[in-house]
Amino acid sequence: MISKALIAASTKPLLLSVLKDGESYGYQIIKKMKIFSGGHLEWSFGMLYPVLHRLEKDGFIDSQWKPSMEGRLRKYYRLTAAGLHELESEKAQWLTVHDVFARLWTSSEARS
Amino acid sequence: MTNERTPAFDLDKAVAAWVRELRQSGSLEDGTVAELEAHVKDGIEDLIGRGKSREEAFREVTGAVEAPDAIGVEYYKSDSRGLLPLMPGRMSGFSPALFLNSIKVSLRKMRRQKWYSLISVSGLAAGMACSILILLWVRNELSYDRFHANAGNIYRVILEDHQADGVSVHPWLPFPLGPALKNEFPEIAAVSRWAPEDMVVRYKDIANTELRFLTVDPVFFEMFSFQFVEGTAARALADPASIVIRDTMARKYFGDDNPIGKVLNLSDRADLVVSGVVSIPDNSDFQFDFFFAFQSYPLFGVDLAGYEADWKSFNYQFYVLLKEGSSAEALERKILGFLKPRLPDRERGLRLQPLRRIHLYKADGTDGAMRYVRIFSLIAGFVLLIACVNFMNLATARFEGQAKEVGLRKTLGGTRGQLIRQFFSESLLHSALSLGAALLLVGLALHFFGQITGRRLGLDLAHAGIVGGIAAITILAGFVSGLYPALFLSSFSPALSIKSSRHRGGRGALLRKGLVILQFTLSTVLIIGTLVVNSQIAFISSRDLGMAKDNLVYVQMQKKSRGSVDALRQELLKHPGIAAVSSSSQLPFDIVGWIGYLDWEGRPADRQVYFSFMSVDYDFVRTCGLGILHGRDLSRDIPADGGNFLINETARRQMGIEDPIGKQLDFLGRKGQIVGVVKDFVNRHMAYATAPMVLTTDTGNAHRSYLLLRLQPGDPSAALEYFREVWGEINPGFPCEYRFMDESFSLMYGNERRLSRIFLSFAALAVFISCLGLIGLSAYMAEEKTKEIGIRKVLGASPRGIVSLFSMNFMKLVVISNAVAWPVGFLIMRRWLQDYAYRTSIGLWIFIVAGGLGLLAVFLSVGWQTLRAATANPVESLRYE
Repeated sequence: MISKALIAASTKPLLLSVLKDGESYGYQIIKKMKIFSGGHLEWSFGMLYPVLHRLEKDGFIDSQWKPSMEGRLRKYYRLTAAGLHELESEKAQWLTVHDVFARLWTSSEARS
Repeated sequence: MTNERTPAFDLDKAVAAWVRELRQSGSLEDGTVAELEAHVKDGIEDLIGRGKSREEAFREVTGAVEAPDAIGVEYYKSDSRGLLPLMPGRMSGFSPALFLNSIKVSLRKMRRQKWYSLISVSGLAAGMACSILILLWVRNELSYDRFHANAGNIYRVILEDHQADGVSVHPWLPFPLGPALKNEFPEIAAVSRWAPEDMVVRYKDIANTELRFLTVDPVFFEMFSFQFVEGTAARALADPASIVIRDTMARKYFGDDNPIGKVLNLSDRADLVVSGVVSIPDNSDFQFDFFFAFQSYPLFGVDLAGYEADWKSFNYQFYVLLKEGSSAEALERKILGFLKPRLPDRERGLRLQPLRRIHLYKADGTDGAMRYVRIFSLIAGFVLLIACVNFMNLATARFEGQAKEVGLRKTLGGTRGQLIRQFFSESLLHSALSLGAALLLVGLALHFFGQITGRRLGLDLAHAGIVGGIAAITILAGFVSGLYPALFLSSFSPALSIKSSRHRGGRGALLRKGLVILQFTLSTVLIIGTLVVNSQIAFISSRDLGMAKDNLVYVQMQKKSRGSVDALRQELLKHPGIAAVSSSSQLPFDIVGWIGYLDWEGRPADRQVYFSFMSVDYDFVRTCGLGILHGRDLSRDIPADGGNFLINETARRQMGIEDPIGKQLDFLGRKGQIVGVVKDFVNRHMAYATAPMVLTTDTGNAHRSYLLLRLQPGDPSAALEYFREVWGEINPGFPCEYRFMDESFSLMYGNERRLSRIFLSFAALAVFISCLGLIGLSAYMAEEKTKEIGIRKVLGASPRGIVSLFSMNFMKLVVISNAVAWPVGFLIMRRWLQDYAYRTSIGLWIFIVAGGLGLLAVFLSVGWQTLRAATANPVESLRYE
């Protein structure tokens, strides 16, 4: 089980990462996340959409209502240039943290 | 095929209904709802594609979506970057910042409208002061004799006496009952008898007639928890030669000396040693100054054994202390028939009255002081309500300004709840400000109020009950005053309230009228109450008493001086200012107890009359100015008259004899003839009917406690001076403390006088507060109608016409108020008068005066406001049109 705090902190980079592969809509994003996390990350509507709106307000993504193939309207989200830039910065930060953990844990495992 | 019975699940409809519900919740923006709808449809499509039924898919997807509120909160959090934890719509009930703002706004409004605020604050302050005073009084009344440690276990024994003409319920019982009860019933821990006395107390050269003696059993101070300043409660009266005195008496007789061990001489008959000094709180009904035990009687030369055997004199009260845990109801059942074997002549039941109820309820369980507690609480409620109405009225009248405020606040997103809170904080602020003024008023009025109620009251702000009561009054006043503005003003739609106000006045004006009617109805009822109480007092004072109470002087005699009555009379009659001299065992207007058995010639076996008895000297009829209806007065010149009787009219009626003259009467074994029938005179409080009574000279001087002097009309000082001299010569050492009969008579009606003063004060206050409100309302109306008045004047209306036109509106309301108040006042006051055997009739004049006073008050308060407007130059008022 992933802690609430970590989910809150990771939502933004995860969303940006999902959208890096191309535009997507809410339901699809949730589904993708479930698959990629092996079921560990299951976002609800109330978790996802407010963050999407926030990111849009901040200019990292933009959105568009478009008809789907079945003819229904859906809101598609897409990464902007600023978003791409933000993603790079986030990525660097997460990798740094990841490296620190990796080194700490391998060295402590080696000692024990 | 069970499926046929349930209609097929319509997915589109279900989704549409779900979305509609979301919209109605109001927590989500339309865009969000649309997106949520798309999301849910995606989910359903997905699940159906994976083999779920439509219904299952719908339930699963919608079930996974949070409640709209929760989603709204998530949006708010992410939008505001988590600075504030909650959405504004979910703000918890109380926010200090908002509350301070409310107060600021309210204060600003009050500053802008000083005049109206002054009226509503001062009215409310007066109303609250009145309620607080009554609260203090009520609390005091309810606290009587509750401070005794045993208060819950002490009962007074009550007699239910079944007489021919009904049941008489009172606490007077025969002397031996106490020990008999104690011996018979183990649940009784202690019994104390109780009888009031009066005596002359002498210490060194100080001598006074003291009226507040109480004879008790020695266990008295162990049953009741009076605080001993000197000595101890236990065994304080164990020695028959001891006496307990009140702290005030200790100061009176001994100054700063230690009173313990000092010897007091009582009526020249016994010397008792002070064994304790006790303090009696104001809220006790045992307001006595001297306490000694029945066991001291032998020291006075009285044979106690005679008392112990006398089951026929009902002159004593009994207090019983039950053992912890025993049931008063069970004991009551057991003692009910206790008197039957001892007094078999008629049915007499014994009952128990809890000590805590004695002050508030009469012996028969009906309201005593409780009645006044109810009446005054009601009056306090009336006055407070009248004051609250002022606030409501002025608040709705000032609606003009307020409506714009309401509109603006609503337009800017203020919810109705917030507005209601704003109005309530305004009215609570008003009542809090009024409280300050009210406490000031209470401080000023407390002394005066104490005088009219005959109670010593204190405003003890350290007492939780009082503070709680005052807080309750303040909050209640604030809440009631704010109720209407809060609910009514907050209900307007912003569009309407910002637009012109003309068409909105209807509802408010109607309500204002209703409230003014309420105010004047209450005020008029109070005025009617005042007038009826006063007219009852006037009725009592002016009623033919059957006795000439003016120029009648009496002095209370002690046993020793009773022997000298004949010598006194002969000396006194030498003075031309003294017309007649007599003596009697009781004061003629206040006879108590002494109920005797009476047998008369030809008495039907079933007829029993409950007689009062008075031992009188010859000339009693002449001295008191009584009238003889039949027969003649008792005469010193006829030797047989020493054993003959006079009866009063009521006695004759109750005995059922047309012509009683010459009939034989047997009074406690004394036989004699009835020689005359005295015209009825008021022989006890007018709440009660005249008692049937028998007068006889037979028992001699020893029983006569009062010397009566009929003075010649005119200046009594010379005769009184002479009286003092003669008294001093014949009774040296006994104080000559004479009183005028008419003064003592009017003292008897102290309760009625107090009630009248209280009614008068509150009625005046109610009218005053109502008028304050009217002044405010009419000022507002004059302001609002400035232009109308201007136009009317331009078109030729006279100021007088304008004043009467506008006053008429209010007059109409007062007329309606009177229509309501008259029957209400009549019914209430008729109920009050029913407690009097002799009562005035409620004349039409009372209602006319009450109505006239109301109209006058309205005319004065409305008149000068409209007159001011009516005499203004129309040019001024129409200038800006």
